[in-house]
Amino acid sequence: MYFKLAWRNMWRSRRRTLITVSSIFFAVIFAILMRVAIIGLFDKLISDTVSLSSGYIQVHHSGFWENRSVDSTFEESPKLTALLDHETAVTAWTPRLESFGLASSGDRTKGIMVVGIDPEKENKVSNLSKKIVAGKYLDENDRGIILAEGLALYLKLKVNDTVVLIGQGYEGNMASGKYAVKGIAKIGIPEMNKGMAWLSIAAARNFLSTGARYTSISILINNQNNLDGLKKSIISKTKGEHYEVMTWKEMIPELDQLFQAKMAQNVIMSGVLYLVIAFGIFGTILMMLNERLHEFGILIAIGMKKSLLAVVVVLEMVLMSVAGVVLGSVCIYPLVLYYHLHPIRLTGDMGKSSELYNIEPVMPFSTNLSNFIVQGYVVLLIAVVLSLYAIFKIYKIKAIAAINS
Amino acid sequence: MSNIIESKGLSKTYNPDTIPVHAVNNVDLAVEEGEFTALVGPSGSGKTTLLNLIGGLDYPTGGKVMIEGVDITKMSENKLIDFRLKNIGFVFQAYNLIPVLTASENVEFVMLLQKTSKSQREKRAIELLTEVGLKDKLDKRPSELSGGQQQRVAVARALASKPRFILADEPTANLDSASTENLLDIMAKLNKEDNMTFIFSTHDQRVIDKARRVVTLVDGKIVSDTKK
Repeated sequence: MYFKLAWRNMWRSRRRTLITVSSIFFAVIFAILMRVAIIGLFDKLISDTVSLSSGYIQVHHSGFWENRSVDSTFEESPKLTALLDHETAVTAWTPRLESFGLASSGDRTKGIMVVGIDPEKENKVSNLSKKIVAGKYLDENDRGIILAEGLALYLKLKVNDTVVLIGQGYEGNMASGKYAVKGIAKIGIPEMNKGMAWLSIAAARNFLSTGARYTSISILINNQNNLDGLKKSIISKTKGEHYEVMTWKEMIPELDQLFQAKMAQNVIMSGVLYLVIAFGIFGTILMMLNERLHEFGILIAIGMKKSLLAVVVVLEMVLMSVAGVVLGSVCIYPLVLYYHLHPIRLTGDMGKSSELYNIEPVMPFSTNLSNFIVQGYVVLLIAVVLSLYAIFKIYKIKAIAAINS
Repeated sequence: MSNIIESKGLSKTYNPDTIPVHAVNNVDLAVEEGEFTALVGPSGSGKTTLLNLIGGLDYPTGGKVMIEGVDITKMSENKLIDFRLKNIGFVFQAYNLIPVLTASENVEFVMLLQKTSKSQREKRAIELLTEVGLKDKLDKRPSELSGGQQQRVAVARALASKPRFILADEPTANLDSASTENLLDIMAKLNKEDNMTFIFSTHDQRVIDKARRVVTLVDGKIVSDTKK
């Protein structure tokens, strides 16, 4: 009956409740939109960047990340791959053999990153085949090469043309080779789009003279929250094997810093919205306390403990907040889903500035439920904290003075 | 018969440091179980203040109130709330029902505070509302009831906790003649059949006529105490 009492009390002053719920509703909508846009943008940026480069977690030879030398490779290890196959947090993993090199065609040459891949495994991690805009994806022992679109444009190459690669191979060997362009892949990250090429791992081993070696194993995970846990788990299970395990935050700290900076901006903007909510709720609390003082006096007179009265009043505020949060979340979800499936393409100055930051100028909204749940928690916290004032005032009530008010 | 309520040297003075107003002035009053007592007197004579002190809604500035031998003026506020819930029923002039609850829920509410089970609450609420003639108004909210009906719900609510006595502050002040008559009959019946003790403040001659004891207050002092 206490719940019933709180619920019905909430609707006693219908207009005031509607105003309060509306203010929460709109603030929640704006806060969610800001959050899903920024998180969606960075989720994509991080996913695009790390899936094609570092992986969310990377296992490589100890010291590889510092010199990125093809000499810091390690041999295929069934023990390591079996371990990764059994880790539940691992969605997919792929071995890579990567090195810097020069790509040349005609009178044009460009420094690039050449990555040897297992086409099938790579596809599970980076979806590379879906990025092919001309030609075909690689087969297992392919002798062809895939060029990033920007690189192909720079070198003026089309499918079936030939590119020359030159680099430093394993243990000081000269690396060189001629490869037919099998496919051209469009990569969202502008910098990568201008300087990446992929060979089958067999062709890359041949090019770099490494034998059955990799430079890294890149790992895709199902939940970013598992990042540190998985890293620890792999480290503990590969102790004494000269592997180094790093997360993308350690390998590409500038990306994480950019994300954190944007999130800090988002927190400030959300803070302003929450302040609006706080004033709305506080106004309601003040009016409610004022209007119902007499009634509170009666309730205390007939035997209702102040603690119980406070619980009912807090419940009222919580119900009002939950109504605003749930309505706001439910109403905005279809829009969020729409822009998740059909990302906003940034044009004009925003598009240019995205490219400056090496970000693909598209903004898919994040549909991660945590973005909605966080709003609920924050608004509920605001309601509960502000209700402390109501609790304070209720504890100060003198029954007889309240009845006579 | 034993005294259910006893006040000794009971005083309540407002503004003691500036212009003292002695709302209740050294009142000695003993009420026995089963009495039907009216507190009468002109406006400002201290009737309501005396009821508030006896009901533990206010603390005196002097003297004490003993309820069945327990000095309630020494109790903490929280203990007093509990004491009121278990021992005292209140009927207010302006009914003061909870507007968002139905008649039945208003009566049940006091029992809920006493942690009575749902089935027992519902059963007793129906019994009490039937007793005050409102069996057909169980699901009506206060705003859907007349003043007389609301006051009868208030009496049912006061009885719900099975109190030792009921304090009613001008219970008929807002009622028409028929409703007043009806309410008085109910209260008299409860007093006679269930031996429920009633103390009410009133100006209403019809109520005074029904009372079996009339205590008259003037300027916070008892000036007469008549038993019929």
